Amino acid sequence: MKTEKEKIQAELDEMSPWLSKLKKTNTGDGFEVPTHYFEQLTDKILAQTKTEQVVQTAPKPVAMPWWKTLSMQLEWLFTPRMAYGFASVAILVAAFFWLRPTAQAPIVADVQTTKVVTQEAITSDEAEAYIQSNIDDFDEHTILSVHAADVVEQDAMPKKQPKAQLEDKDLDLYLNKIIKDENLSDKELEDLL
Amino acid sequence: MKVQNDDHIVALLLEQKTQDQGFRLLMQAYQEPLYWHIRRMVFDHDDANDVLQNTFIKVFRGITNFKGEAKLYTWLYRIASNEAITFLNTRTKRGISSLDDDEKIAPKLVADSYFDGDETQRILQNAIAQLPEKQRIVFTMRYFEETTYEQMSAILQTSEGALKASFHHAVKKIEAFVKQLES
Repeated sequence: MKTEKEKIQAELDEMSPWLSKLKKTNTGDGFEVPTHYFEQLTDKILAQTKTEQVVQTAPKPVAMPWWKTLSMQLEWLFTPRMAYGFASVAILVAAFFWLRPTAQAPIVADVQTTKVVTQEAITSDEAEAYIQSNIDDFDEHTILSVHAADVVEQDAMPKKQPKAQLEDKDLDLYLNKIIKDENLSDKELEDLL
Repeated sequence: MKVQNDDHIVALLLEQKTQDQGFRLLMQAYQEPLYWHIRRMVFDHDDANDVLQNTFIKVFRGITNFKGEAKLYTWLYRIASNEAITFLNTRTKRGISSLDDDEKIAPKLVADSYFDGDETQRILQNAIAQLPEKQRIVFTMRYFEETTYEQMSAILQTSEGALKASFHHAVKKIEAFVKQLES
């Protein structure tokens, strides 16, 4: 009965003369290993498996129920350090909203009634009526300054002049009347003209 | 005798107290044949070392899954073969073309301090490097390790007929490669 080596040799004899010849010389594959490689390999691999075992057998964190986790998180929130922090932030936010200017502008504040109305919401007649009814609340200086401003505004407006229909004789009559009424001297009359 | 040894090794490995002792016996029996099996597939010593260590770590981790349906020898060679093929596939997927990389085997072996073969052996290794992974594993198991088709069939889970065909194709390709070099 043929050994496995003989069977292989027979196969190679049929298929490849080159390989058959090479197999007969039994030269091997030509590979080598570092010195003492196999002597150290067992300890090396065992050390690796031990390291893995330590990692795998490390105690796993125990799963806590959700309410316990929540209460722990809340406890953390109420530690003095966190409480001071949250209080400071809350004060800052409140101060910001308290002092923040409103978007409505401009506004008129009535000190007595604290009723706020815009200038566009009242007519000039209403304003006049309000001032008349509360005239005592305004000091003289304010009233005069407002009145002066109105006068200046009216003077600044161009006025329509009626067309003069006077003739020379009418003008002479008017001047003679003035002269007679005022008893102007000749010199005064010259200065006037 | 060997089967009895294998059974003893498995029994020791399955007990927590005797696991280290069992593993040392396992290494003593199989580290060298498995190393050469892997080395002939991946060529480089460092790569063979990595693949061999991964193989034994998987064996250590999975020994509880070993049901004894197959022989320990078959189970170990199957793990080693799969690890070697996975390594080769990963290297190919990284963008290194299998053919380009294998074509560099010959000059690489000349410079390799862990290759002491002559010119004929270098040509043979270069020819083996051209083979597809399955044909390479079948050829090296049959030619160098003198494994029977029956054992190979159990390890590679392929029919004996298919393995004979693979070996035939591999031998023809190597013969053609050598003739091409001569011409």
